[in-house]
Parts: sequence; C-alpha cells; structure tokens
Amino acid sequence: MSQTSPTLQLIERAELIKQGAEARVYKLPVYFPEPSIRWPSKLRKLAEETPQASSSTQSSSPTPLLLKHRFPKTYRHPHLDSLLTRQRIQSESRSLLRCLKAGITVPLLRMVDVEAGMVGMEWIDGWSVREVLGGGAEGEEADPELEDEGEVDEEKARRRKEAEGALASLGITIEQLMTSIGKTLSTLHLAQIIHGDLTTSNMMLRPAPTRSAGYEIVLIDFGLSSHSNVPENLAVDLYVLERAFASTHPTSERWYQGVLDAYAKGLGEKKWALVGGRLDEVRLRGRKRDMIG
Amino acid sequence: MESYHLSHFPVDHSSVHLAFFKNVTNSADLRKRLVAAATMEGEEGDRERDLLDYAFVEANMIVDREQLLTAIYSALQAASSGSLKTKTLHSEVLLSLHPSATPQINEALRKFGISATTKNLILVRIGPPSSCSTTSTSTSSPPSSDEDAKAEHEQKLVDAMSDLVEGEMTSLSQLRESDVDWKGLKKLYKLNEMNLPSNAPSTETEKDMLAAVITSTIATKTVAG
Ligand SMILES: Nc1ncnc2c1ncn2[C@@H]1O[C@H](COP(=O)(O)OP(=O)(O)OP(=O)(O)O)[C@@H](O)[C@H]1O
Ligand SMILES: [Mg+2]
Repeated sequence: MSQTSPTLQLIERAELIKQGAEARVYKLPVYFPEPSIRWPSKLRKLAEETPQASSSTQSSSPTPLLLKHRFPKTYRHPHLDSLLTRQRIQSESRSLLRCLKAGITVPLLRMVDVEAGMVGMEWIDGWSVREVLGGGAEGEEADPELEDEGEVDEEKARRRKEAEGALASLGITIEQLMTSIGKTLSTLHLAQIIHGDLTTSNMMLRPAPTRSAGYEIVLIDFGLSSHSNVPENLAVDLYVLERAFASTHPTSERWYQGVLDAYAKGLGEKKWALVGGRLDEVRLRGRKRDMIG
Repeated sequence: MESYHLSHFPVDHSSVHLAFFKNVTNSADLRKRLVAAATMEGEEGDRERDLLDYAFVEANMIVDREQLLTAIYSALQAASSGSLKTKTLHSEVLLSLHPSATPQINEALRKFGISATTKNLILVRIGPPSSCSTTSTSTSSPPSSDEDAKAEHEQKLVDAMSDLVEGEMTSLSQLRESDVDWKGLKKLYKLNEMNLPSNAPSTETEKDMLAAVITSTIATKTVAG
C-alpha cells in the first residue's frame, strides 16, 4: 500500500525505552542531523586573509528527541482507535502547552503527527524520581535478588547506581526533593491542570546548573490529563500519587508527608482547606473499596 | 548557510538550507522582484522565479533554529501526506510558523514574510540534496561522488544567496542576539497570559520559556483549538 510515513521512519533510528500497553516510548538520538556549514566563496577568500572572520561557525549540536508512538490497537475498531489516539495526543499536547505557559517545567513539543499516532518532545536528560528513590526503572522489579541472578545487565545496574547517587551528587536531601515535588504540584493545580497519572515514574529530576537550586522537577506523561479546578479532581490527583508512593516505595510515608506539606503551602490556606478536606473523603472511599474488593 | 539532509523524506525535498543575513539593505527591491516574478511570462519569468525560489523569512520573528526547523518539519510532513494548504513548500513554511491552525496565507506572509523594511532576513530553500540526484535512481552509487555533488551544489547555492541578498551572512546561533520582535511575538503567539514581568524578556531563562512555548505552539497546531 502506501509508503511508510517519514514520521514512522524515525522509529527505525530510535531506541525503544518503554513498551507500554498504550504507547511505545523511544529515544531518537538525532532529530535534525548536524548541518553542513558553508560560507559564500567571496567571504571564504576574505576569511583566509583575516582569520577572525571565519570564527562564527558555531552551529547547533543535535539534540535527542523522545518519541511517543501510540501504535494502532488491533483489538479496537479502527475508527474508535484513531479517535482515541487523537484524543490522547490532543489532551497531552494541550496540557503540555498549558504547563509551559504557566511556567511549569515539562518537555517542550517538537512534532505532532496524529495520523501516525506520534508525538515528538524534548528529551529530558535526568532520572525519574522513582529511580532516584531506589525504586528501579519502571517495569523493573525493585527486587535485589534479581541482581544476584545476574538478570540485570551492566548498563541497567550502572544507571540505577547513578540515579540513586543523584541526590548526593546534586547535594540535596530527600526532604528537599519532596518539598520541590509538592511545590511543583501546587503550581500545576493552581494552573488548573489535572495530571491524571501522578506516579514517581512520571516525575523526573534534571540537573539545572542555571537554577539556584541546581535542579528542577520535570513532569511528564500527560496522556490522561485534563483541565479542572474542582477540589474533588485535585484531591483524586493527589490520592493517585499517595497510592503510588505507598506501593513503589513501601517505607515512604514520611517522605510523602513532605510532599503534602509543601503542596498545602503552595496552594494557600483557603484552597488547601477545600482540597485537603476532599482528600480525606477520597481516602475513606478508597479504603472502603479495598475492603470490598 | 546550514544544510540539513533528511533522508527519510522524499529525495525532492530531503535537503533544507538556511541562511541568516543581518543588516540587509535591499529588502524593498527583493519584495518588488518577488511580486513581479509571480506574473512574469516566458523563459525570463522561469529564470527569475528560479532565482527567487526561497522562503524569505522576517528574521525578527524567529527566536532560534528550533522554531524555524519545527515549522519546516510540519511543512514537510504536510507535503508527504498530501495536505499542503499552499502552492509551494516554501509558502507552507511561512504558514506553519503562524500560530493559527487555519491562517490566511496573506496574514502569514504579512507576519513572517519579507517586507520592504526587513533588516534581518532568513532564506530557506527546500529541495533535493544536489541538482542531479532527482534523476539518479540508484541508491548504491559510491558515496564519495554523492558527497562531492552535494558539496558543489551547496557552494553554488550559498553563493547564489549571497549574490541575491545585500547583507551580512551570519550564524543562526546569533538569532536571539539580534533584533527579535518580542512584543510582536508575544501578541501573536498569545504569550501575554504568561505573566512574565515585562514586555521584553530580560533574562536567558525568560527567553527560553518564551521560545519553548513558541516552538511547542507550532508543533501542536494540528491538534490545537
Ligand atoms: N521527555 C522525556 N525525556 C526522557 N525520558 C522520558 C521522557 N518522557 C518519558 N520518558 C521515560 O519514558 C518512560 C515512559 O514514558 P511515559 O510515562 O510518557 O509513557 P507511558 O507511561 O507509556 O504513557 P501512557 O501512560 O500515557 O500510556 C518514563 O517513565 C520515563 O522514564
Ligand atoms: Mg508513565
């Protein structure tokens, strides 16, 4: 039939980093290749005589791109499938744009190809908070025995060690990290953005030498996000994270309290009164559900 | 001039060439020629259109390479899927730069195209990697001759550009240091809601923030609104 679209061809040059149920995530090392640079012949002659004229040949260094491919799902009707894919891409890119406008650090967008189900965004050079807290990479068990079996290859082990040393190398404590996360989440909610899937895998820690703190929290994975200012929705968003903390980082209760404290402070007393109250109700509902199910 | 070779696009538009000129003095003349060339007849008309076969971009509306390359990518994408909204890839680039999902081409040209008073100008040429490769169908020809043909083509192109434009060719890395129209950009890309302190960004961090929104707006246009 038709030739593979240029966007899909990018996958051939990319490295698969996560195979999910909804999407495959790739790292594309080079989006636009390094350009060749040429100067007009008359300038070049000039440059040979006066060396400094040729000094401004500085060019862009190729930056990697994150490709998120929402591949076709054969178990769904094709029409429904492309509709759902479009909706996911739409809400993800709208939320990312809204975040950028609100000053929340998220990956910037480089390419959207709805027909191909592809979004290309800035590659965040850092670690997921999950890795930093010793939970391993997503999909990988936080089980030390695995290493004994020699199942974890060297690269993974090296990365894990690097992630776990990230806090020390940046000179920050877990408490400080938790405070940053809480503050970031309050900004998100003040901008009326509901993330929809807050987990420690969907938050990244990136070194940022130009910032006074030396690092920044980058939120990712906005596929389930929405726009809302209703306290119930904000509370559910937080509750999802609470559960994620409890299951991925079993000894994390104290850490998580740090997130909540900073969140409450960021939100402001009045608003926190509403959201905090809701959160108690949501927790209660969750516990009841657990008892039945 | 910077030349990007994108092998995953059809060979006829697999090469993108960009050149940035500062202190341009013949913009009024170039504009006149562009208008006249559109209706010029005969061989002379073809030659003139060939000489002027670029997107002439108002550089004060461009903050960095990413913004321009993102628009170029979506124009190429539109061409590949047969959904060009304008007659040529070059005018499609100007259209892609505009934040509106359905801009009038005239409006896009007014904002991003060359005007009689343009002082800083970017030429964009999208085409095959070298003048002969459109006809060559073999992909297994020795790479060295391919590279030579490319290099020769690029040198001819950059010389043609510098003959056409009276100004100083400069690295595109200098874009932000030149006279970016932040006020115009903020209005057009609706960046005023970002509650940044002043009209023109004062720090690099602020510029980065604005540039990120501009590039992302262009990239997400097809799903915006
Ligand atoms: N912009 C990025 N830069 C670097 N790494 C990223 C980026 N986005 C995602 N990742 C990595 O890829 C993993 C998966 O990405 P993401 O969470 O967006 O996909 P997903 O969970 O499969 O998506 P969804 O839940 O919408 O189906 C992340 O946990 C993170 O480690
Ligand atoms: Mg995820």
